[in-house]
Amino acid sequence: MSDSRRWNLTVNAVATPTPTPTPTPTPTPAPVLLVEENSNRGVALDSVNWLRDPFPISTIYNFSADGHTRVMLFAMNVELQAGENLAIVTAEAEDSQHTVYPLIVEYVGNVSNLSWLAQINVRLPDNLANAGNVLVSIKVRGVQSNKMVVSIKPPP
Amino acid sequence: MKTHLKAYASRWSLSAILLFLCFPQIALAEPVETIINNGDAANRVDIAILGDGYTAAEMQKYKNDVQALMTRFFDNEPFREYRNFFNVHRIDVVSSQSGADHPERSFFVNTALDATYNCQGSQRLICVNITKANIILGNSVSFSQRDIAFVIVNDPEYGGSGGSIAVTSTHLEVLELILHELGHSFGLLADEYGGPPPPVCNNTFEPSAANATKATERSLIKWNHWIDASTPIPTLSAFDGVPGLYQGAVYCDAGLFRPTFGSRMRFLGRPYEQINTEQLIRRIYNVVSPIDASQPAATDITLTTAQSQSFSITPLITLSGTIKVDWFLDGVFQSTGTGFTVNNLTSGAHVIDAVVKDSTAQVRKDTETY
Repeated sequence: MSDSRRWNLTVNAVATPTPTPTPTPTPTPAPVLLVEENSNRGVALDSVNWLRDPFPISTIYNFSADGHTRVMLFAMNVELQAGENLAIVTAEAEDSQHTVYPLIVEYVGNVSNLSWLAQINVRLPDNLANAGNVLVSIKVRGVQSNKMVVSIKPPP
Repeated sequence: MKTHLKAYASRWSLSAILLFLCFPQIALAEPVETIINNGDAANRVDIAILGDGYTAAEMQKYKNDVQALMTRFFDNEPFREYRNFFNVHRIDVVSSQSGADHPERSFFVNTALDATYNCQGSQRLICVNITKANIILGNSVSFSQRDIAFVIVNDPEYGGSGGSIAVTSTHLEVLELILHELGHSFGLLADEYGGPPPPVCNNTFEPSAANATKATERSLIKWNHWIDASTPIPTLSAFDGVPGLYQGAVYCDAGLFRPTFGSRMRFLGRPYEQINTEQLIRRIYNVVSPIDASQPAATDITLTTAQSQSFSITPLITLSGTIKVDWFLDGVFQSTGTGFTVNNLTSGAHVIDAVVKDSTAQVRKDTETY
């Protein structure tokens, strides 16, 4: 009237497989803005006359029609990869009230004969005119740099 | 020269006889056709049928007679319900002459199995040479192909006999006799009729058969599980199909009891009734497992936790579909069906059980052996 079948199972645990290493992007090293030795005052020059700060917002010695001063910043760990453009670099200035002023990056490139050193040209905006000393920093692929002091010359 | 030839012939004949006696199976194997094939003989009730009194010219009639007999046979319960559990093998035995001996009218024919009416002085009793029949059976079909054996005798006159090999004429009503005799030989059932002798009544001991008892206490009656509480014991009514305790069985008019008023084991033309049907089904299961096949064949299986494993059972099928397969994992019921798959088992030892059970209402009490 009835019958049965039996199977005896031996179940072995499977060793948890070692996850296949997922190639992780090489972390972008934080950019480093050059500052004066033993100081956080930045190494920055007017792009026309190569004078250091304080920088006026506008100047008659200018290569552009808008009259705005362009300041050269110098940084390490800023290197454009193939297919990248200067859009990967952003810059900003922060005043003593922690107001942040975006700075337009107009040029990123290596300094001649110094492949480890990049030059970043930024345009000083009008609303920065009375900011005094500001902390300038950049981001490369979203990675924040150090902050360095740059003085803005108030308008006459 | 003739003397020499005679002597040679005598030596040859003696050698042939000795060879025949030593290796009778070589000479007596006959052609076999399996006319109902429901599966491997190892897991079926196999019926082997022999013919007697059929000449070579009558082989087609023999085939037709066998077919008709088996068609009517499987119209009867419980064989109808369990017909898939049976195979039927027809052994084509050719006789020199047609028919059977009728000594009462001095009619004799030469047949393969020496079938004769008027056996032991009883006109309707047909006897065959059981030794010859067994030799042909033994050499024509395997042991597993002859759980039940019939001889069908090519004679239309009513007659037959029981025993280890039942004998029937081609008379239509003789099937009843076959079914009755099968109750004895296959079902191990007793006759349910009383006297007068012969045979002699002996009611001093409990019969071994499932359908006879000397017990009169309800709880001790073998078929008590079939007796309704409202049915009086002993049972004096004469209604058919009502299980009870009816006086008169095994050639005794008193002192031994039968389960129903009039089953096939008492009167031809009646059904087996509940108790005898239950016994016949249990006997079928004594030969046949409800499991025809199972997969995988290996019973010890090693897996990993990440692997799945499928199991399957091929059950036999009753007409009413009463057989089902239940699956258990570590003793806990999982599902019903012919297949089962395990996935994500925890590491360690596990047990899968497939339990195949016939839930037929025709069996109320199952036992291990019958």
